[in-house]
Amino acid sequence: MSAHSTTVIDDELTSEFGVIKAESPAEKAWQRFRRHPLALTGLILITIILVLTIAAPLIDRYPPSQLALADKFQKPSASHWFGTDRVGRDIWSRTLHGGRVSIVVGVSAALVSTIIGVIFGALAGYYGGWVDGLIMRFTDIVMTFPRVVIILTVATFLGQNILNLILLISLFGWMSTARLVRGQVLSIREEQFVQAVRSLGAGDMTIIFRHIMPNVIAPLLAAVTFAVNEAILLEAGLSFLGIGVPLPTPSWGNMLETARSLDVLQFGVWMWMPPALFILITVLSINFIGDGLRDALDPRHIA
Amino acid sequence: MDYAIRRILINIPILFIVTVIIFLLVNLAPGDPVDFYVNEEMGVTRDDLTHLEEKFGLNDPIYVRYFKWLGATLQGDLGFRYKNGDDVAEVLFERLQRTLLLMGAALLLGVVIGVTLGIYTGLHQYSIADFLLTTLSFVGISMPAFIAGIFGLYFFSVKLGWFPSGGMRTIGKPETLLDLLHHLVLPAGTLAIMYAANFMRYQRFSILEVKRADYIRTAQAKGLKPRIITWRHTVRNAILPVVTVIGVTVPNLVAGALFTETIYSWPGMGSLFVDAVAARDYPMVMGIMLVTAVVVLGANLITDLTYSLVDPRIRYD
Amino acid sequence: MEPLLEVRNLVTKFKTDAGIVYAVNGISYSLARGESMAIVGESGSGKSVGVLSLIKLIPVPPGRIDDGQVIFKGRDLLTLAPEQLRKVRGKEISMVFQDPMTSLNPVLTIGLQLTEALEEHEHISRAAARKRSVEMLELVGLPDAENRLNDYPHQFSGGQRQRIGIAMALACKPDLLIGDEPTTALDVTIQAQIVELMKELQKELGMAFIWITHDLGVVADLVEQVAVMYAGFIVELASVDDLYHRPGHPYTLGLLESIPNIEGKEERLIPIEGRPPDLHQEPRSCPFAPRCRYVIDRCREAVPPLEEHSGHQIACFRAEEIQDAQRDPVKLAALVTPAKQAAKAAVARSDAPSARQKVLVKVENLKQHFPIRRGIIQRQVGAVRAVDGLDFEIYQGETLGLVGESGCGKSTTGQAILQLLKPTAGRVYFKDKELTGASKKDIRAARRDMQMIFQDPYASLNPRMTVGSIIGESLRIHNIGDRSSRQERVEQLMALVGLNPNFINRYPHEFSGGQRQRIGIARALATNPAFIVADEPIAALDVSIQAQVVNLLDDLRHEMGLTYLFIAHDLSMVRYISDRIAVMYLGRIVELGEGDSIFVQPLHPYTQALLSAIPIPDPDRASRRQRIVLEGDVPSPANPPSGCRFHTRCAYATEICRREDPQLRSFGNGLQHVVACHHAEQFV
Repeated sequence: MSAHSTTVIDDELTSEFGVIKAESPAEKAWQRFRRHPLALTGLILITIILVLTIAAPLIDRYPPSQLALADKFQKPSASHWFGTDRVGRDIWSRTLHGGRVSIVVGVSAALVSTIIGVIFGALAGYYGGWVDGLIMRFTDIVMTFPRVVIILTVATFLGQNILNLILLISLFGWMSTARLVRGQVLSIREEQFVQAVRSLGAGDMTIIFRHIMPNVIAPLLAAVTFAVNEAILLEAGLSFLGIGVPLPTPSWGNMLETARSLDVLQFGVWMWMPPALFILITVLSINFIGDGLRDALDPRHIA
Repeated sequence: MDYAIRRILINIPILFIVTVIIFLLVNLAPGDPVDFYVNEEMGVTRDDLTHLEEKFGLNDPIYVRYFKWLGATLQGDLGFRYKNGDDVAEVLFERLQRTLLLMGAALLLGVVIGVTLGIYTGLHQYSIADFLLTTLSFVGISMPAFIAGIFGLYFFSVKLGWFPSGGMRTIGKPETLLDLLHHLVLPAGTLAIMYAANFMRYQRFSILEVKRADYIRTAQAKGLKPRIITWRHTVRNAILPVVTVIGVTVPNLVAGALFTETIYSWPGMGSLFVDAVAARDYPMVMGIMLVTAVVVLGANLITDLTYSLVDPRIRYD
Repeated sequence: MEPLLEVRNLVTKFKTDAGIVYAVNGISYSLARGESMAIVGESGSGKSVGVLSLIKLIPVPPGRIDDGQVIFKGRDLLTLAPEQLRKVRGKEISMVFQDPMTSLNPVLTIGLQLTEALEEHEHISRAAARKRSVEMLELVGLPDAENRLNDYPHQFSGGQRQRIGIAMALACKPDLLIGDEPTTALDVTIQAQIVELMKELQKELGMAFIWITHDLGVVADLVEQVAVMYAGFIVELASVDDLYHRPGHPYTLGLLESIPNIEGKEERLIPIEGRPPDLHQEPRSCPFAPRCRYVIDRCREAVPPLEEHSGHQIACFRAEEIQDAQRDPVKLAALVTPAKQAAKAAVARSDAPSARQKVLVKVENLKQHFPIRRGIIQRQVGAVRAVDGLDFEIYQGETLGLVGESGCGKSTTGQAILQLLKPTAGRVYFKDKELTGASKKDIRAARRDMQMIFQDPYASLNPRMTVGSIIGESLRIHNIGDRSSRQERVEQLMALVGLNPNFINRYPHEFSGGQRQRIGIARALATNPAFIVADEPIAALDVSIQAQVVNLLDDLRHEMGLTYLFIAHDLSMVRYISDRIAVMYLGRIVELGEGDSIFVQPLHPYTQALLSAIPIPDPDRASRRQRIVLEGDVPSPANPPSGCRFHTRCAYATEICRREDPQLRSFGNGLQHVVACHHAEQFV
């Protein structure tokens, strides 16, 4: 192969208008994320909460389920920073340990539901036709029931424990992920670069896993953060109704349940305020992060 | 018109499958509902319940029971409560009205506040109000109905004493509209927070998108008054996509109402559901699930039909 | 006489995250009443921002008009109060925009959109405004105007919408009409309709107008003055004849040289080398210097001012020398900077050995229908007959050009040949083997030998893969070589297409459009294919870059013995690169023959119309030729007309055309020239 007369080696790289540095799409996304003030705030807050909950056994001062009837219903003090509940359990300790439960339930339920959603969504989006029709009608129907309603129904006869809770939250929570992934796969499947790989002779599996899925990960990442939030709130909500994490294991939700009694609501603010605020701050920071991720991974920036 | 009919008809098979799911879910559940009432201490024995089983037809094969149930349901007969033998449909109908009142009030508040703030912040991007409201909206979308409800109850009822702590009526007082509204403000308001924040974010985003549209530039190039560009061209187009969101949020609203009703002892369908589930009152559970599904499907239907009325592009498809 | 519009030193910048974009860097020009002017430039030249700034239509922020005056009828528009400026917009200066699909408000009737400006500026009643709107719509040639006022934009075709846009702009009888690329989004025959309409309207209404375009050809016989913009500067401003015959700026010259001459195909295109300008740098030297063949040291030290040179205004230190050369290649060659001479090397084109012996691809009765499904159960209610019965052959070593307007099925044809779509009917043979009906595995194996180059250099490269993986992907798929030999091959390919092999680990977003298209070409070449379908490979590129890519494709074909199916809508480029040309209309080939015979003696009325609609960048020839302007729009391929599909738009159509579907018939002296027209004899 001879170099021909007109070959001009372009020695400069340029984006739309400017010469730019070598950066992978992931590096570019991180650059944008870092410049997002709310996302950064969220990242810092969630780090603090994670450190506190992970270090719970080291800083808890009392075992979370240790009863001390002599010390019951105490206001916050030097010995009990956040006070005690009606059976004398230390609120500070229960808040930290409850956070572990809430976050573990939230994250694992979000992961399981994401996996289910990705599989269904990718199948529906890539194969289309009756596969798509079947899966999408199915999700439509599952979505006509509010999640809390259906989980409440099933949870009562399935038995109350953390594993069942995770299972139920994820089994009834994959639909929006499936829709998102399907939509993404559907549009990426029609992109010219996928056509191009197909014209090179690539098979379905290469196309799905090497070319389509890496492009779905960006929007999926933002969706996962919101799924974690939903799962955390769902756990809290169900436990609040007394159908989630069973006592004596603490979770933010079942600690909040105490506030259903007007007595505690009025005279035991320290008992329900910490879990309420922790839920709020956790969800808020994850929303911040999700928003930052969505902006940073916006395909309009990546092209 | 053709579109409307097709859109309505498509719900029939969905509703059919929904009934199957509800029925299976409840009837395949482990444990006989009747067992729940076996209580030796109170002298209720297995034997006593056998005739009850026959009365409720619990010994037929499952598909026979399904079609019996479906047939009765179609005639508006949802059966009787295990708990006290009340007519499910009757109780449910009364409760549903109250829940719809609560949900309707919350939705109205959420949409009006959210859309208004969304339009304002979208039109005044980069202003201080925009920055503050946008940041605040994050708190709003992070505040589920049960946390908002508890906070609302604590601050506005317990601490400030502005509103009653629960119920729909002040007992012993005449039933006035004002009294009802007084009871409605807190539950509806706290239920609305998340929706208001959500709608604000959608509406703001939608306004920002439309502001960039080519046809807005065309309108500017025509020399129209800013007022006309804003209302006739920008807002009108930007509200359309938000209409679709209303329908999608109804399932969440139903779930939220469940918590709100529990917290404020609002005698609606949600608090009834929590009780029914705990008591394994299956006819009631099935009835509520069915009504919920109908409400959700109906909301989606109304949303789609409304959208097709306001967007000329749909009508002719 | 006082000019209608005088722009003085207009400067517009955009402040973005990545820094300041210097969009318009001090442009000045003036326009008399009733005068017409074109502003020509490529993407990033500042041509649109320049005119949008006149009536402050740029978004602020991020935009900012930093300096300058816009004197219109004696007052400076830039210092006018917003309320005053608003009264100028739409009333005295109005605009027509590029994309008719997005420029009209989708939820308002066209009647309302037409009357609202009239009510605003003329303070007339709604009834009077509606009456005037109907008049305007009739003036722009919209049929049945009265009854269509209550229709919404989506009920009109693209061409009709652009007519509505023009009617809207003219409603208040403005003194100045600005068209921001008003025909760019339209097909070539519709573009011809709009250009003719503008000529008539100007004769009738006598307003001044400014026409923004990237295509020197479109405006050649439309305007009196032309301003050429590059990187935010006007680099040349002259009367239209002067500009085309005696260009004085190397960029103008380069643009003219990079457009193929439709009268002959011998001369090799001379592209403008290099990449588009970087607008993030504050301009301190001639912005064109990095790409200029005539560059001297002075060009890199200062921005050349726009100065008068025998009737032109030119911003170049060597303007007079270049003008004196009068587009004479020999004289120009002498002016080229010594260091740039190698790059120029205007070699004559070696014609391909078009000894047509071997058929490489054979297509028989190819049909590709797309079902239209409706309703809940997705019942098929019809079909879009994108490709509806094609028969042709592609010979080894030739380039077959496939032309037609959007929706004619040309791209679908390419995909169906490569089996990227499963044809509804017909057979495709490649190297004597039938592809239609072959197993999935065989087709995938055959893909080594037949490749595709795509239209959009942005969408056709996976944004998350490095250039090396993109180019080497087919080697990986077909298990050719090991990791290191593949890398070697990729580097070799990058050098072959003119990319620096050191960039092998970079990502697509770091390359310019032209460079990305080179990546796409390298990818197609990786497995040494015999046949390449090039699907509009230059349509998304700037004019000055198009010639680079076309030359590259042409060279590669000769060096590697490739066979191309070159799909395009730009007839002059197709003629330049192709040996034979096939013209498609509504899923059928209506004419196929040698490029020369098609251009010299087009036998199908549609081909004739297409040829006459080609923009010619030469005002003399453009005004001399007879334009055949087709009426109406292309019918829907879901419901093609009976008989000859072209009869609804054909001036020669008779009864037989409505009844009988004409078959391809052979004409000419032994050379293949086939045409599907009942009346072809009369054109021989």
